Amino acid sequence: MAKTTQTVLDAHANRPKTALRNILVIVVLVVLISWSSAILDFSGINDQGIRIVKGILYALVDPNRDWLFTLESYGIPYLMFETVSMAFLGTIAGAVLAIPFAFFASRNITGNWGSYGGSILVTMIRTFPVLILGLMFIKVAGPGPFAGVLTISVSSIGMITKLYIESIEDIDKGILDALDATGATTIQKIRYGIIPQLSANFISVAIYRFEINVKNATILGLVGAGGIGFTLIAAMGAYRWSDAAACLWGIVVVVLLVEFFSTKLRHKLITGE
Amino acid sequence: MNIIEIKNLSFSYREDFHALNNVNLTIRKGEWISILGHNGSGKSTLAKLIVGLLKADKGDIYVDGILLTEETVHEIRRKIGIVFQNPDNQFVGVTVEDDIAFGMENLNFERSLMINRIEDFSKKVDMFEYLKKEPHELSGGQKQRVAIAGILAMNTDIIIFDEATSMLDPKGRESIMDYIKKLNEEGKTIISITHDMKEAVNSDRIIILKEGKLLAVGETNTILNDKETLNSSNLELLLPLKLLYKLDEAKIKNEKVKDILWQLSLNK
Ligand SMILES: Nc1ncnc2c1ncn2[C@@H]1O[C@H](COP(=O)(O)OP(=O)(O)O)[C@@H](O)[C@H]1O
Ligand SMILES: [Mg+2]
Repeated sequence: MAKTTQTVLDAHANRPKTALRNILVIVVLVVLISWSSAILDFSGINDQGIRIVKGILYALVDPNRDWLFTLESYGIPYLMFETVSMAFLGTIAGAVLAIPFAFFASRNITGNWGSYGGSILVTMIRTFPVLILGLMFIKVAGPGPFAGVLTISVSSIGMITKLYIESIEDIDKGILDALDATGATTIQKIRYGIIPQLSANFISVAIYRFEINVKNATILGLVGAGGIGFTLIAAMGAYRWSDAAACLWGIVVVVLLVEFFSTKLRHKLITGE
Repeated sequence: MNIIEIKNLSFSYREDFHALNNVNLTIRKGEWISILGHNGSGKSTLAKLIVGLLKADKGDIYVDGILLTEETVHEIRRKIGIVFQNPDNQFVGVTVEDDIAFGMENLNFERSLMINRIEDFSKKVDMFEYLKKEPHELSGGQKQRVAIAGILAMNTDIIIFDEATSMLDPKGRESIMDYIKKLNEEGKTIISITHDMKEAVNSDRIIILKEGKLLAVGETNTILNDKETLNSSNLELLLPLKLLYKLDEAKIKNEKVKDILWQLSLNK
């Protein structure tokens, strides 16, 4: 039988002999570091900074309880609800918009050229950082949660499409042959041959992206595109530490909850238990 | 009478490689013919061409006297049912009865007739008690039996089994082989595709494919006695057959031993 495992010693003995390359890498790194530190201005951490950090740390223990436990529209529950809603709507829109892109860019559907064109498009969308997209959509839709939803949906298309493509290129063609042989129509082939193979994966991808989008939605407020981020940056700007801490607690709790349920749900979808 | 005629059939998936190369073949009504060949020899390609899942580059296929074209493919599929290798790929219904009904629905059977046929054919493959079960409650062999019932319900004259047993355990295999035999005795034309010689020895005739070419066609006895052809086919020979050949080479002429080995080769 072939040897399939190797010990650490084997690995060490077989290690790539690349001393020259390592030295080169280190030299390049040193040059880059000294060059960038010459350009950046390190003013050090001043007293002001230390006071701010202290303020936040103390406030985390004693956040603004009025904000935390009210259902009014200035309260954390409402703001987090708005944030999660933005993520939710944006994810759904992105997940739906990604479907045509994904089919268009899948090798087994459109061949090499379609797939090439499709992946260029997807890469272009993926290159825009979410905050830049946010700034752009505020110009289109005005500040507020609607701009946030637009930003999230467009920024999601890239990654979702990429993951969809993987599922589509994995489709088992055998089932389509079997359906064809029993005289199934095109609609039946999609209904029985394609959707069952893709739906669980697609939904799982969307949930995974929702998790990321909740985090994105919390920062979109920084540029005025709705959600809790706006309140957070305003509180920090005015040195209202206990208000800022209330926002942070809201974010932490919601992000953890979303992550917990999303993982559970995706596990259930993929394994079916 | 010939129910399938194949003339000069060629097919390539890629430009520089023939998956099938100039195959000529006739299949008689009511016979059980095995297509035997190594992995990648073109067996599945041939089956897919016959039911029109692939379109030939060259050559003609006649089924029951009808030339296979884009216009006639649906008519021809009503004459040929095909059971594939992977049981999971063929189960599209929610339950067993649903799945058996699937093919009939496309043929516009009447509802009452469908219900009768579901009952009849599930009984035929011993799946009647399972009609309400869902696929995840069934073994691979049971799923293949459901696929067979679905095809029987469509009442095709010809049934192709494309390595329908290869993903099953020995027991599942045996039961599928038993049904194949029974169906043939009841008058169906059977084309069974396999790389396992053991599954071919009970058929009437054997076709051997090698690298897309027809290596041999003949009565099962003739093929099994054709040592040169079998050796050049790269197929795994059955043990008793190997012994028989060895006895021959050693010029040992004990008829009784030879007869026993021959019977063993034929699964008897
Ligand atoms: N979808 C496909 N695309 C490209 N090549 C294929 C495809 N299906 C089969 N082939 C090739 O065609 C040849 C015949 O395959 P196949 O008919 O499936 O063989 P068998 O059923 O005898 O194992 C093989 O070399 C296989 O690699
Ligand atoms: Mg095959």
